[in-house]
Amino acid sequence: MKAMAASAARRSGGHYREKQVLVRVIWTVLIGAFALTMIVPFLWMISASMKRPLDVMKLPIDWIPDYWYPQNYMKVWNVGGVAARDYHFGLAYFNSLKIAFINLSGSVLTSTLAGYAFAKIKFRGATGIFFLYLATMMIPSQVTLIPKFILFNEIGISGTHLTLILPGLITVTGTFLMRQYFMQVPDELRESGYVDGASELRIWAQIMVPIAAPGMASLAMVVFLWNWNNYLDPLVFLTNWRLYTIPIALTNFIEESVTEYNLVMAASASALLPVFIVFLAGQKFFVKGLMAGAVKG
Amino acid sequence: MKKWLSMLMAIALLVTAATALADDVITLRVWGGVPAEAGPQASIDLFNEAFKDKGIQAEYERFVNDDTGNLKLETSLLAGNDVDLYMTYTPAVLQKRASGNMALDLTELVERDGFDIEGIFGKMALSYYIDGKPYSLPTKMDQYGIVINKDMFDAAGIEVPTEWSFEEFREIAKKLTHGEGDSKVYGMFFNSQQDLLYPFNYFSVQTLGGDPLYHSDGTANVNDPVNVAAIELVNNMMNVDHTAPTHTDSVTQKLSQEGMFITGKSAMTIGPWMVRSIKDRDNYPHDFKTAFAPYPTIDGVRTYTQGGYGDHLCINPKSKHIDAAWEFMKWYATEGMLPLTSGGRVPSANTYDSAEVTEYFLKGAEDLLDAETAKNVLIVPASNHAVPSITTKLPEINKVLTEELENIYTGVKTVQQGMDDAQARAEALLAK
Amino acid sequence: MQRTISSGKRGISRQLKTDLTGYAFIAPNVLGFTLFTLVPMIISLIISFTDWDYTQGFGNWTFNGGANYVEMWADKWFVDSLVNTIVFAVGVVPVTIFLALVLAVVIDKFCYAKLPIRLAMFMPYISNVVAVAIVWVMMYSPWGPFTQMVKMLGVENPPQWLGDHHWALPAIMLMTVWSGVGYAMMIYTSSITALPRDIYEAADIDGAGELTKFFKITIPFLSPTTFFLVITTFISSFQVFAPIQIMTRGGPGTATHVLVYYIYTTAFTFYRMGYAASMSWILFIILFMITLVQWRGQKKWVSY
Repeated sequence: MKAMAASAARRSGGHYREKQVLVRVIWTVLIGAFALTMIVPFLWMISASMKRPLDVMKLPIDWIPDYWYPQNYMKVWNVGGVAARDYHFGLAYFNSLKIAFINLSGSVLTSTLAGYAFAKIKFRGATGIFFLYLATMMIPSQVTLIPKFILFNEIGISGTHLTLILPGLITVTGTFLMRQYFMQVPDELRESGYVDGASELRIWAQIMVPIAAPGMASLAMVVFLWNWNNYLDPLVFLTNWRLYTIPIALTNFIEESVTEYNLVMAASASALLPVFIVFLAGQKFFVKGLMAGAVKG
Repeated sequence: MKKWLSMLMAIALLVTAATALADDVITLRVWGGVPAEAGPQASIDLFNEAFKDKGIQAEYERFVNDDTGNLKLETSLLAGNDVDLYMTYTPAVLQKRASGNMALDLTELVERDGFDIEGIFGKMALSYYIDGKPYSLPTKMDQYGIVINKDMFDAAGIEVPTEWSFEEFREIAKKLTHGEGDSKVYGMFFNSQQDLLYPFNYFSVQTLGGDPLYHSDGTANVNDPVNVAAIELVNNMMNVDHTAPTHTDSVTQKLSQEGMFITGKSAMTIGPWMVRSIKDRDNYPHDFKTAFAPYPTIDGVRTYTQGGYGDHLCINPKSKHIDAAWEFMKWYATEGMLPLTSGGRVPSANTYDSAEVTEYFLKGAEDLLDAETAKNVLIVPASNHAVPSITTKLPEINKVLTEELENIYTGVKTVQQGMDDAQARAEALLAK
Repeated sequence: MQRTISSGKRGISRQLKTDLTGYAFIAPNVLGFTLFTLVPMIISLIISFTDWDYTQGFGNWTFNGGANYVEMWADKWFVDSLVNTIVFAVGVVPVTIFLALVLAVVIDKFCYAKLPIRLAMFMPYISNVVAVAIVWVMMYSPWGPFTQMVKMLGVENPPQWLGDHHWALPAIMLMTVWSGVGYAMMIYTSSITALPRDIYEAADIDGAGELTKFFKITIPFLSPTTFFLVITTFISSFQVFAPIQIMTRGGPGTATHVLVYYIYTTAFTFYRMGYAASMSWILFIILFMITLVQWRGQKKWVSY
């Protein structure tokens, strides 16, 4: 009934449009308000990064600092000689970027290949192998940490970035995500490729990868974040400050009796820039995938 | 794929290049929990200056002295030679590392050089031997006391105590508490969100000795009347007198000694390990004078003084430079740690001049720290330290106590009931 | 197997070819997986039957049969943690996923300013976990909005949320849902952009309403993604650790003591790696069962 009225309204034009605009405005306001609460920690982080240490934990929160202290950023980045010492944050930043981008490219590639195979290629043992994959997600990383460490020691890569890169090139969650994504893609597309006599790899590269772009984009974002925020692995696997990543550099600000949250937050805020860039780049892919779907459909 | 391989190889090369060390000079890797800028870097610089002709240099690596930081250190020790020397902070952990071949037995080196541990560090150093052997040099003396806002004491007409009972301590806290809401000033801050076990380790020990949670035969002594009285005292001050922030407030507001004491929101606090913050006028601006008093005892009668050795410097048995590491160790323990003293760390060796130690301790804050009480309470070693010797299941018992104390402080259990439950649980743990 | 054999020689080679193609596609993945995920996991299984203290060196352990697996059931910490963990996961997973689905669809269909809203929702996920946890500690403090709201409702002694034995766990659950919903929403969004528009157009022509389209087209179409999210969110909820460590350290008492927090404490504070590993394997078995049930059940509700 309602639906019929709606389609009738659509035919009649303007009236329906007005109503739709109203619905959109209401939803935007409601969800926008909810979304605003989500920025609160971010705002707090920025605010805390501009405060003196004692003002950070003051309650109730002063969202706008009484006393601005942007020196925190100068301390973190060791600019202007105000820091107690050089925390080598720039180097850590570079290391983090390097590892995150290598692992992002590697794991998106391996996950898209394997995810496609698990979803679409009916090879024997697929379910068994895939279930084994899933199973490994169920052991908390805290207990495989030391076995991993011993393994790296045995193969002679302990203390290097390879301890983060080699395991980082594949991700079980990513493979799972891409498998589920390809599951949603209709089989007809693949069959049309077969009719043209294309190889599996060409079908994957020319038909499937473009369709999977939004999934790959969200995977890329997530992988980037995992690597960017990974704490326990680099903490244990790296032993030289020249190789440290951002989360390890943050431990510099944990003093003996107190944590300098103002510096932690200045460093964390600085670390958000690449995350924004990756997110916005990923959003472009969402739109592209949308258009690709439209063309196919 | 090829590109990948070459990229990986390039990275590997870079890594090797970055970690490669010059051949002729030995560079020791020294790991410690103190931030480099709080003294260790200055100390290492002195060492490098003094030993540059002897071909030994040192580099400092800081780990955070918490579970994950010690994990990082220990896995590095397991792996081998990325660590030459490192600090161990508690006897329980020292015991573990010694038995796990993570710390070198120093007997041979000590005998070879005729290094007189007992003569330099006193008889108490022997208490930190493991199975009768030295696995570390105890470089620091942990002798603490109640930290006092002397201006507030003066204003209230109270003398800084040199000896006091639980009851006197409680009464003084009452006199110092005033105001309401945001402007309330508390008499005391127990810093319980950081560690709930201070009442045992700082109060009970002065009557019961170094192992307040154990009988001398190693069985549990958690609900000893002295322990119960110490908890009763804290509970009363938090929940009856309201002269100290409650444990819940400490946790839910993430209170800190810096935030409470240095800002003048409490007249006393539990320990002096934030001397560095007191000296840091930029970050923690204040102008009152800080004094120190020994920890109170149950009835004003002192059997022991809280205190012992900390900063146990160890050598990694897998180090390739054991002799050089030993040179560093001796130098650091007997002459090298003064830069850390200005960060509040008092050396344990008698090779340091007491006046010089005091000078370093006060350095840069002569107007903010009360020299007299700092010297008497924190620097001049007492003769009756309560030295810990039993560590059986200590982390587990500490966890039991943390939980039961939370139950007590939040009113779920009475003090006696909570302590009896803790005793029963500790007995069960020790029976395993 | 049987089918390929009975369909003769050509059938075998075709299946074999499919097999080889499949293996080639997963080869790089399987190689890394085996070495860096499977092997450490098997080592942890072996360790779980020992009394290993990792400071004593690798291999320096005694096998104690299944003693670890027996001990835990009489261990109050383990049992409390297990109960808390189950409560936590059962509360967090459905709410997060349902909320994420609704948000993803509504934002996609009915909202202006999609990009800023999505970015905002994603903020808790990308912000430093320490910042998020500290802000929530402050939100739950007596000055925070929760206490103020309850006070406005006329409650005289508002609970101390994180300091309260009954409220601490729900408080952390609320925070987890709130900070996790953006991630789940983003995964949904990427799937929604791949929804075939023509089906919706066909439904429009049939005069289907928005709710009908949501339940009859969107939900079934997104079911593989839902399946993914249910399984991964269950796993991550069962493994919750960081907020507990920062906000309550398991307290007050054992009110927020969860399994991975205890596993962590056991391994790195108590130095009992063997016991920690055995508890991890119990956690594994629980998650494996949950996943297996969902895997079996997916045929009923996941449409590919």
